[in-house]
Amino acid sequence: MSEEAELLPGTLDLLILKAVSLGPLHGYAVLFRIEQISGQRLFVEQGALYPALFRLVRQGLLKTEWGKSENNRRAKFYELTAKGRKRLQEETDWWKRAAAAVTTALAARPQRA
Amino acid sequence: MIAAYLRSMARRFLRRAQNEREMHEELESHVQLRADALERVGLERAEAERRARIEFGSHVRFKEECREALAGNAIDQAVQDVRFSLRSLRKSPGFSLVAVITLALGIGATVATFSVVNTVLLRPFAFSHPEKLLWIYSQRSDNPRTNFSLPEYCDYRDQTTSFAGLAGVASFNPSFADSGPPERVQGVRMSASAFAMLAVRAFVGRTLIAEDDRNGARGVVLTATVCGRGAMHGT
Repeated sequence: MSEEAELLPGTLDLLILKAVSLGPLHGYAVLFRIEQISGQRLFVEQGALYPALFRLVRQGLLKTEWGKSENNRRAKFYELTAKGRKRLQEETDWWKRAAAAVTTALAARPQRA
Repeated sequence: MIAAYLRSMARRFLRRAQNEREMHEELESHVQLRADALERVGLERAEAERRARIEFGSHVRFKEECREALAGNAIDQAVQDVRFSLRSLRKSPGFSLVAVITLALGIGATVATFSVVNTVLLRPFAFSHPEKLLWIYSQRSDNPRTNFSLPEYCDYRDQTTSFAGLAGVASFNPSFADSGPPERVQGVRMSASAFAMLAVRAFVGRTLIAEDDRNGARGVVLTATVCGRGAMHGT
């Protein structure tokens, strides 16, 4: 089953930050990287990607630079800023805590009277 | 964050053309990269590009959404809204005229009212030390705000220790008769102490003095403006 990563708007931002944290990427590569690091389980809709990237740039979490891609095409590369790195760490911690909490709640068994 | 926001806004407005160009270029490069990937899988170049474009979706929507994500979007939208409303107004001149007239009447009435209220109510009195002036009412069970009687006033005036001075004011609307029909005039009865308290002086003649307050003294009339010729007989 493939899920779209933009189920929760915050999740997409978090995944983008993570993808870019492993090295500067251009837009298309971000899509690819997210698929890759999620074990081919998360696919991002193309229409949602660039607005999210632009939003992160506006918030100062990413910075951009034009460069050349692998096949020598001109492309705009996105890179984490120091602030972005910090935000990634914070959001990851929060996500882990939230996921653990939900998992615990879902694993609750009915009490025997 | 503010710095990045301002930078983003500056980019949007100051380098609008460049922004548009760059967005277009980024879009193109994305499509090309996707086409490359499809080509690697075995598609023909032309087919790969076509597929990639379809996958990407509408260009216009892409640009719209990216522009929205940039800072300063509210301003842009506000400007667009203003332009649109101006266009609509131009198309229906009758309606615009009515709207303008209504606004003019409303604003005019408000300004006129305010001028009056400002002068009469809001500006401090041109007396000395207006902040020290108090208006004292009597309170009775049937009327929360009513007048004092003359004996009451005299008692307060003579016995007060809380106030620097007390003056009495009452309305007084006599009729003045000249050679023609009598006219009712709006006036005020004041104790002499009022003038000292308010530090008001007469342009011509004098204001009331303590002597005039005595029982049996002759009545003294002050007029606010210079009266016309002819005798006046008080009633």
